[in-house]
Amino acid sequence: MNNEQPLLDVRNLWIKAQDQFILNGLDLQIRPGEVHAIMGPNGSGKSTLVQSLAGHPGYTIEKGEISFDGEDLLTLTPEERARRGLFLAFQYPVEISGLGNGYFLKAAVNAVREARGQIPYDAVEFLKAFRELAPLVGLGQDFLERGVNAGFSGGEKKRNEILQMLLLEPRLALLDETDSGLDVDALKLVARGVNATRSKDRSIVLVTHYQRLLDYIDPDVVHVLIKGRIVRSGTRELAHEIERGGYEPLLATMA
Amino acid sequence: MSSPVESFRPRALPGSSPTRIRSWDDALKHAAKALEIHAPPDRHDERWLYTRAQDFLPPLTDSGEIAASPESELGTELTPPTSSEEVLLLEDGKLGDPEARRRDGLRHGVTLRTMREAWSEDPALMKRIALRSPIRDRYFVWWNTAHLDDGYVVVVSRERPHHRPLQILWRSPNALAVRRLLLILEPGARLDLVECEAARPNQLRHLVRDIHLEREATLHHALLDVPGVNENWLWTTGVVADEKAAYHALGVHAGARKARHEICVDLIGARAHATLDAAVLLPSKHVFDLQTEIVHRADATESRQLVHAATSARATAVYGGTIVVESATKGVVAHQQSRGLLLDPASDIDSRPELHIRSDDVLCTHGASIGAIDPEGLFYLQSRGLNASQARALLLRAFALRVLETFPAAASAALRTTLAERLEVLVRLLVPEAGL
Ligand SMILES: Nc1ncnc2c1ncn2[C@@H]1O[C@H](COP(=O)(O)OP(=O)(O)OP(=O)(O)O)[C@@H](O)[C@H]1O
Ligand SMILES: [Mg+2]
Repeated sequence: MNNEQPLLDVRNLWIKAQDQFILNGLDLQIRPGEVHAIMGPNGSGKSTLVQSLAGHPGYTIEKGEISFDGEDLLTLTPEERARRGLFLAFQYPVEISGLGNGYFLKAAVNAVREARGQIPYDAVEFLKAFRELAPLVGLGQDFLERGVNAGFSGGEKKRNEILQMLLLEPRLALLDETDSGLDVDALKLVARGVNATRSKDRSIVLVTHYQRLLDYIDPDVVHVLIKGRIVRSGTRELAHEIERGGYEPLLATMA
Repeated sequence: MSSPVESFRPRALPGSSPTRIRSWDDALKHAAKALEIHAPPDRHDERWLYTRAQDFLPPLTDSGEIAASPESELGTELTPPTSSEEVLLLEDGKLGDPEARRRDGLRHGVTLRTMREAWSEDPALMKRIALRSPIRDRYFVWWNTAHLDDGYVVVVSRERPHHRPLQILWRSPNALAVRRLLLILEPGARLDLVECEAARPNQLRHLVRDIHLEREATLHHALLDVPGVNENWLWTTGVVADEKAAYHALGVHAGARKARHEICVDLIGARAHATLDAAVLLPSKHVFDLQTEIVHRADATESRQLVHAATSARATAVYGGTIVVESATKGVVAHQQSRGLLLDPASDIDSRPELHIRSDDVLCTHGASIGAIDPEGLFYLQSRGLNASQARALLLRAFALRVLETFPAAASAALRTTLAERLEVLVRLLVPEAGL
């Protein structure tokens, strides 16, 4: 682990949805270039954490601070967060039929490029970028014509999320169960996409239930999130431990 | 007790049987007589809850004449679609003068005559067609006939290459515009038709179209209206589809102060097919009232309806979709789906399906949903860097363009392009309107 300033700094985060606390004083620091895995039982608050980081309006931050690259994240709209380099690959990508995937990808990449002072892609440049990146996740050009995620298989949706990540070049990518529902080959493709994006100033959070993903993407830290709190952090060995013994032993030590 | 559908259907007219009509003049007399006997539809008819007959009747003088109508100001100019070379320009219900040569230009398997000519040339055919029109006994069709100088008869033969859309452009400088079109597709003929009405402020427009599709004829029909200022208009469309004929209509509508389209489709031949789709994108205060009726009278006939309506502040979108499956028909399939998008909470969308299924061997589905812009879709797009108003505009655009996705792939690329462009124009018009 390095000693740089954290890119993401979450302190004592308490979050409510519909009058129920879901996160109960969560702390998390991620430095540039680090890959963190977050594991935890169903309903422990993993999606709540990453969705809140992306600015989902359905959650109320009751207490706590989040800074992203030194800036208060909580004052920013979802699109401002995206433009500053935060990316969320959704656990359940939203289907928008009628909106062509290509049209959407180009609009998104250009919104972000413009905000970063880069020249927006014209149709030809966009197509070039697409043709470069789409094969990394095994998507063909026919995906430009189809509606956003509309009628995509589970695996295609996840690969489309990774394609968006590659196009938007985020500084922090939050991947919420991007490995769930993928066959082995698709998992390798997604891992290849993620590994292609790894660099010393790009950080990644992998929310996952399976240490299998960590065979392909080697994490710097593994966290265990239970009942809205990070109860243990460790190395890859922790993921194996969970794979073998489940969360019961960890729950026992909590009480 | 008669069902509402039956009361909607042809009735014998005392003293003036339509079977005695032998010429265009007879038709005019019959219509005038019918107007004397029958009252305009009122609100007891469920189909007239949102637009009223009065909305489409011009003011009368004390002596019962139509009040003299001054020429209205020039309004929104309609730029003729460019994706095809053949434009039939009908100005004030007559063949546009400077364009008269077009009449000879309609060579590619299309002929054009006035109704008077058609009746004198082939009264037997005209009578056969008049008698089987599903809209022949509607008040506003009589009204149209009685107030018409003449109408147009377009006949399309199977020689026509369907990939060249024919465009019909209706224009009128007058405050009252009354138009009539009879379109006949001969056996096996195929036509892609773009029909579009230009607007003048304060105008009242009537358009009646009768469409007859003979065996195995196919019509792809784009219906476009151009929003003007303070106008009212009424379209009445009747379609008869014979064996294996197909009618595919897609309306792109911005509505008007009061706008109404009634479409009545009779599937009389086995395996006849109809799709009636519409994208209704209403600016503030606009009204669009769509009333469809599809009657399955033969075996293995299929119909599909898909209506997407989006409303800005104080706009009203109405959809009444009636499906009738006659008894003793086999293997009928009928689907109907309507989706409403309230862009402003102070707007109104009313959707009512009406099903009259009198056969056991039917597959029929229908569904209606109304809601605001999907917050999860909005968040998804925002999380990709699009601001809230860009995201809403994209979602509105997606909602509108979805009706084009299911439009039959057999339609020509030129027709699809025209429809897509029109949809984009209306979406752009609506985005600032709806405060997106
Ligand atoms: N908007 C919401 N309103 C009410 N409850 C919510 C909301 N979002 C999440 N919750 C609840 O909060 C808890 C945590 O949900 P979350 O989706 O964060 O879990 P998770 O750890 O991602 O689970 P999984 O592994 O199943 O994806 C669950 O009990 C869930 O029902
Ligand atoms: Mg989750």
